[in-house]
Amino acid sequence: MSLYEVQKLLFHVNREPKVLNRFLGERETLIAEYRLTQEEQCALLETDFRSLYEMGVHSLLLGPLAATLGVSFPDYLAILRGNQT
Amino acid sequence: MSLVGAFAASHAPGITGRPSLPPAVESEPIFRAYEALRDRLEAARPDVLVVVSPEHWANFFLDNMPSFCIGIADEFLGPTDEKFVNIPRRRVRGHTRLARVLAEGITEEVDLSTSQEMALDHGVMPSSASASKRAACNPYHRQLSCGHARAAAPLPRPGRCNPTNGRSLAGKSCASRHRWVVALAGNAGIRSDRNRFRPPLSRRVC
Repeated sequence: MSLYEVQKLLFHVNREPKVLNRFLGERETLIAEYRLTQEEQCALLETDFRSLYEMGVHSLLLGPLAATLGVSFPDYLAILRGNQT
Repeated sequence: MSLVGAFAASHAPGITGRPSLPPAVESEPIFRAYEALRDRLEAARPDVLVVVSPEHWANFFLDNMPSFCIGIADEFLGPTDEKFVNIPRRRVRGHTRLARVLAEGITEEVDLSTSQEMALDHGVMPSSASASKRAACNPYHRQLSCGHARAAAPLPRPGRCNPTNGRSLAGKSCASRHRWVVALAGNAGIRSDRNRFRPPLSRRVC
């Protein structure tokens, strides 16, 4: 797995409004620019927070992204716990 | 230069981001303490608030993670994680000349990075938001921490942090001949055992 690349992508998404817009509007193209495994690509395409967290993605990369995407904090925690999909 | 106050507070993003989540009996004392801090800060009337905070992926990634960095600019933009911390993104005035004085002093003892484009995150914004009605803000980051040591290891050892602690920064500020009125804020993290979420998930160490 390429945790470094996953986190790098999320760092750019959280920090750069232009990259965030691409993440929202042309995610597949954006993801293809990073060296990711198929599993990582799927998790990012589906915004699968639990899978990303289990891969080891830092919580302060995931939490702000969840908030930006409008996921409430209780829902975000439930997703990480596996209580919600 | 005169030092008119030194403050310490948690920067946990939930304080402003999710204030109604915990029971009021737990959260109200925290909010009252913040109100008291704000009142004391406003009463002290500093020209500049120097904020020491950990970094939270707002500026640095794992390709280059400095141990210490001071922002040197006329203004800063933040918070980068505005939805997470529920503080609208805006520009905060900086104090370039004081930042340079501090940087010169600190580099006598430890290697220091500087940034003329430092982004502010939830570690800095609560203090600067309450202070910046009249005061400029000088953000100063220590390396990514908050229990994230594995991600950015090795963290600087405690002895290496001494030149950047409040007492040392106060000394460097007061040593200047300028007539700035300065306050310090240490926005530490509270790794609370009361965190409601401690998942038993296996985590990779990167």
